[in-house]
Amino acid sequence: MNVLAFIPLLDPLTALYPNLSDYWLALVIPLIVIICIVYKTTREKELCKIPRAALVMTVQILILMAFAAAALQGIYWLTIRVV
Amino acid sequence: MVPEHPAHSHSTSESPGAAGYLALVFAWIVPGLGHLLIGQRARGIIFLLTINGLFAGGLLIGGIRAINPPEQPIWTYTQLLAGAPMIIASKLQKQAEKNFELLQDEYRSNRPEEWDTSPKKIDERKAYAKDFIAQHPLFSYHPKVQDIGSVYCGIAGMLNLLVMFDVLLRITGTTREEPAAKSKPNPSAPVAPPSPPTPPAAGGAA
Repeated sequence: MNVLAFIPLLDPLTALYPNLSDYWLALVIPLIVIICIVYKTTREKELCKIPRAALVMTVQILILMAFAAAALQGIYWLTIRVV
Repeated sequence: MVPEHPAHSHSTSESPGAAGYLALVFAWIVPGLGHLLIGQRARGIIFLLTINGLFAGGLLIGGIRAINPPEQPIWTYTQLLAGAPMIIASKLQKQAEKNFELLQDEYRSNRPEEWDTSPKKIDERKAYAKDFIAQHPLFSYHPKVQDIGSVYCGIAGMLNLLVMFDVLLRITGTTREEPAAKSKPNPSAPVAPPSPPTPPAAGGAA
């Protein structure tokens, strides 16, 4: 890949790192972190409480998503076995 | 600067006035600017960095083609909520789309024969595609990563909508109803002394 030909914000990052699409699910983590920071900044009255509240919410969402993924995988596995 | 009403102090909403609405418009144009205008500097800076950073992150990951994704207009609408970054990016995307069409024509015209499915020709086509992408990174396309880029920019817009609502609540002085406070009685509230039993109304049936 010609690095000089790459223009950040115009060309997709996959041109530079073609294997990025193998780790696409990991790109959800920064998204969740930012959602939690913005949400907690609107809700918390005291600014000093924002980092902790955002961290707790991030962990809660990630755990919930992991449970949802496991449950869906289980349902899929059962469907394959039974049907 | 627009004076901010003490949020969380009373539940009655009042008209924010022209300056308040102006802050709301600026909150849409530049995420975080609304809070800066109403005097919430720290919150404004947080929104400015996070929302614009998320939008820029979407562009970095998916490239300019993450904007206005074809056949997914819902993301275009949500991206529009991000304000000025989206307006600028949208103009760049339209220009890039023209370049992309020219690249497609160039790619098709020089590609080794598609009808030939012999292993040698397939390898030739793969090498040609690789070289072409190396020279023109815009041509690189990975659907999942492209979608994540579109989602980043779309979520940035939706978060900006949340921030705009927050500006509206603060300039009108409206209090949010806390779900926990609704169910639990406030322990710090003064307890009223038990009222004496009311005497029966005079003239009533004895």
